[in-house]
Amino acid sequence: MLDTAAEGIIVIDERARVLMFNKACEWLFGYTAAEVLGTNVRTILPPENADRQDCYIWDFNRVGVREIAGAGQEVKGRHRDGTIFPVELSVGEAMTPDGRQFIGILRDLRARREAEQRLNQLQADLLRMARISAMDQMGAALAHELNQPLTAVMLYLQAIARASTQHPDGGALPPPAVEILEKAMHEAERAGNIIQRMRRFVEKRDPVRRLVDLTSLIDDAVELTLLGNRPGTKITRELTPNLPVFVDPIQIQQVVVNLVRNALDAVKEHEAPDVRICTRKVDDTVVLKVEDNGPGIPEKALPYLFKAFSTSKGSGLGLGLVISRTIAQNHGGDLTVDPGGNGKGASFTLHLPVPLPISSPLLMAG
Amino acid sequence: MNQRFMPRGEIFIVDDDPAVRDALSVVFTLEGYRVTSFGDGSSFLSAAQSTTPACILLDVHMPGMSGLDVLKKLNAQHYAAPIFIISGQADIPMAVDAIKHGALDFIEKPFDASTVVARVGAAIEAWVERAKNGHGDIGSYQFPGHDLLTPREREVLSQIADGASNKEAGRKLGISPRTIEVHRARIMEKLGAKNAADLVRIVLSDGRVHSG
Repeated sequence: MLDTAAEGIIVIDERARVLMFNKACEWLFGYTAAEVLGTNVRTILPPENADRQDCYIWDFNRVGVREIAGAGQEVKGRHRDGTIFPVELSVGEAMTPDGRQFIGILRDLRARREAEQRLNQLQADLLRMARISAMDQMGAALAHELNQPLTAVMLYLQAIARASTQHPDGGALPPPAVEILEKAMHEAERAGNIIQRMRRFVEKRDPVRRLVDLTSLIDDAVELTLLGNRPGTKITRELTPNLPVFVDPIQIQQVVVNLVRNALDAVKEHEAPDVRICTRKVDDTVVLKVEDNGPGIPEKALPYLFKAFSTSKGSGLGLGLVISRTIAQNHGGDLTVDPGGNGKGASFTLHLPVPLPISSPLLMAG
Repeated sequence: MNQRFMPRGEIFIVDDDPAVRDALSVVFTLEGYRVTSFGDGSSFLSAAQSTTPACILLDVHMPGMSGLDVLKKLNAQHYAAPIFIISGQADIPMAVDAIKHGALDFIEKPFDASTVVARVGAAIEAWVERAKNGHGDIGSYQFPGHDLLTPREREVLSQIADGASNKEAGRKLGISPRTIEVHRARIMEKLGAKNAADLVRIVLSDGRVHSG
């Protein structure tokens, strides 16, 4: 029975000699029971000077049992190949006709440690993305929106200036007007410089593109999105394997996080919320679709969907989709929407080009 | 003779922002061009397939069909007029993509009238020159990898092999020195050249002596 236990079970006597070593222990430590039985338990412990604490816990001859017996403590074990790994140890004592014996129950903590590390990493990523994101979004959207009227203003002013100099006879502006015109143009240029500087300040990083597998990119993004969400929401993934794309992974993850968050928002009130992500290749385009079973998008909201600063939500700047589409287009792709309605939820599709065989790192410089 | 009354050709402007469209229209009309503007890619494509203007200004970030999509659908590499991409953001990879798909060069908003007018004028002139003189004699060279280059890249290479600086090459072809750099890097990568000397060596490797 002990041999089929998933946990490692070890029994040692008062002299720390191993009396029993189950199958799970054989697997954990890389020794057969035959090799270990009768030897000192030090065999499976890290070398003495590496961690005195562990040896202390195991040194039953010097320490009262009550101090070590009981609930699990984290200690370190040593594999036959020398690897040191974390193990949860619970110790019990038994009085037998052969003297005091100690039963140790061991659980491998490596998997748990890795999961914790991963969670920490993801949380750090999420925080970082959120911080960069807010600034980036504001800066990029403002710059883009402001550039339009500013471009028009500058062109109009210069058109007047050019027209007036090219009509020396009729239509020439009196010198005071010309001077005012020049001042206006100067201010427009100044506004343009301010926008440029602000953008450069916010975007400290040039987009860095590389070949990534779309599936792992999506998986990471979904984990990030779910970190802050209520459990129980179903996010189904139908991802075609082996779909590489040549992208800035942080930017594309930003898009996926945005789309998934919107989808989750849309199904908030639903009794059986369902968000579905699927990927596939269509000719020379990689297609990523996020659909929800929410109420769909009302027709009158459609024209404003990708417009900056126009959100139907109570909070937020209304920049998510604008930025997402910009990112998509910057990558040579696009972001399209199927509004759904009449019982069908909305779906957003990210299109990305299939990477060409020659992807030049040279071109990314400067 | 007043230059303004001689029509300087037709310009197509494609931008979803009505103010930008109008302002550009005003500027180029004043310069003596005939201007037709479009608010989206599809209406532009229908027109461009039946008429070839002297120059096209195409916004990259448009809803519906992006500028890049338009370039692809137009088969811009082989279109008979120079195409400028207008971008609102200085995103180099995106601009490079546009150039790879046949755009001649890109201009960032906000820009001023003199700049746009000068760049468009230079591009049109260069285009006319090249049509007259043929597209550089590099086409007749059989160096290894010559078939990997696009028509534009062959022209740039022809200039470089002639000893032109980025600035001179740009002037000849009607594009900015920065874009020449982009083409140069791409050519070197395609041909496996590590530097300019390498490039010239590869080009001459068919044994012919290049005169001039």
